[in-house]
Amino acid sequence: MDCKEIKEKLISCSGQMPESEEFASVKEHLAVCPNCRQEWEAYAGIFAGIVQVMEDSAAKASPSPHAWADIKGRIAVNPRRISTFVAIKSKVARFAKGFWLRPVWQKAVSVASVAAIIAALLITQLTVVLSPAAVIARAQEAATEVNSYHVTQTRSYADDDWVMRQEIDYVMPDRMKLVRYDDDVKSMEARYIGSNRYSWTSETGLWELDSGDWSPQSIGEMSQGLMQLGAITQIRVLPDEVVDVVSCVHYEATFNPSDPVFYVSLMREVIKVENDPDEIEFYQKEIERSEQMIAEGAEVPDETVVMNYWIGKDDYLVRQFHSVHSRQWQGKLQVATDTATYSQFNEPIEIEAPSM
Amino acid sequence: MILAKQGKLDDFEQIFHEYKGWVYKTAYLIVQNPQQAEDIMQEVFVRAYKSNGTFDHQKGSYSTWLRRITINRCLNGHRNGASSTASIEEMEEQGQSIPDNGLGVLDQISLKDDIRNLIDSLGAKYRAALVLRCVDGLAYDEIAEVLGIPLGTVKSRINRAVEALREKRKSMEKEAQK
Repeated sequence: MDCKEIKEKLISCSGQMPESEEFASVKEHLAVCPNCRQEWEAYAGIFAGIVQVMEDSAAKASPSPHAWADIKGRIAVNPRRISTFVAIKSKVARFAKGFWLRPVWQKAVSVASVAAIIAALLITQLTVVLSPAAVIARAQEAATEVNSYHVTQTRSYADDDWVMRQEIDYVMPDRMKLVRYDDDVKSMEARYIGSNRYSWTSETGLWELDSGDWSPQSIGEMSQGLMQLGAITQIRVLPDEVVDVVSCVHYEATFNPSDPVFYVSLMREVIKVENDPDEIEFYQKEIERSEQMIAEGAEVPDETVVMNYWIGKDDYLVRQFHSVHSRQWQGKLQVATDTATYSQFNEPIEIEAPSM
Repeated sequence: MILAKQGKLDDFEQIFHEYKGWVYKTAYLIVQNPQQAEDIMQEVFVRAYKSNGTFDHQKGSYSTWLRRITINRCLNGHRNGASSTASIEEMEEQGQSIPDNGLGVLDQISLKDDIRNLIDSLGAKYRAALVLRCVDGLAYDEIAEVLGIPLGTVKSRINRAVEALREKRKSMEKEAQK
């Protein structure tokens, strides 16, 4: 066995010389070859360092204490094929139930949807004095008229130079195409068609098909956000602005998504339109859990979402969205910024299964 | 091993508590972002719960299956590391070694700091192989099974990552001696 072969063996044993017979000749070689012995010590040091560094890093990080509750909430989501009317209610309910139970990128798009609806309702209230129930009904109707649209969404963190961008097409009721870019490099594409999810990643360069209970509707369609209306209280009316040649009203809303008081209000709104006994039971338990937290004076996480949105004054469709979500995470302040621009409303958008 | 059947959330909670630490740690080490690691962990368990019917114990252990879901989720769809996953290949083509993240030699005093910087500069698929090898202590054939790649590719990834670290270390030592 020459020095080159020995070197390969040294790396393969990851810093710990096995006692096996296979490595007996390696040991013999090291005993007589100072160069290889030096190499061995260097590799052993590197491996020990890798282990130490990784263990140190892992020791500093731990899952959120709410992880299991979040996972349960996400598991409880039970997407299904249903009529448009029932679908709206279901989607609204899923949004409400899963707002902070979803991955951040889904939340971001969802928040944009909420913003669209809330802003539409606010405009309506400004021009015509309507009861809240009437405003909600009008907003629901307007939202259901959007059958297809495109969203460009970005996310970034204050302490990181990474920028994630997603180009998303929606075709109601059950098609969605999502292309993700990390630092402007395409990293993923997913196409949801009915219950099928086709996904492509830059890692494999191949399309994969997953058939199951995928729910493209839950990833940010515009009709999802109505249930937050009654829960968001701090809204500022800002001067009108023109976005993409469309004259828009500009609103700012502030809320704490982790505040149980806010969450209870949200759940009560959801129950009003929910028919599924299992779903209602879930929300009622959530209310009880949250009310118990309130009664016990549970500490409310210091978390704030400040949303800005720009809505067309003529058609009430959202054109632009901006959100800054601040919270304590792993002992330090995390600030995530999301933006979204909406376009191609009701224009023909085709989403087909890829060739595999 | 208690295997949760679909719909038995209480059983699955036991599995969650048994594996959450490993799943989160692995995701965190690979994607190097706590928020993304949290997202990945949640997605892994949601998927594991909903896919339990597809788990075939004759094809491997539950932990191996969960490992595979975790690693795949880390590599598919998360942002790459500080440099692209092709960095090692690209640098080798250019006759270069791993970059030092802009830090001067004098700033990189300890081996530990050097390694931390160098690990950060690796692509995710190299970090995944290193995590499975150096932290989980898996054998190469086990890593191949988890990653779903040939044994030779596993060896190649680990060897190249370690070799890159070794070369970088050498060059830094030379610089320090000047």
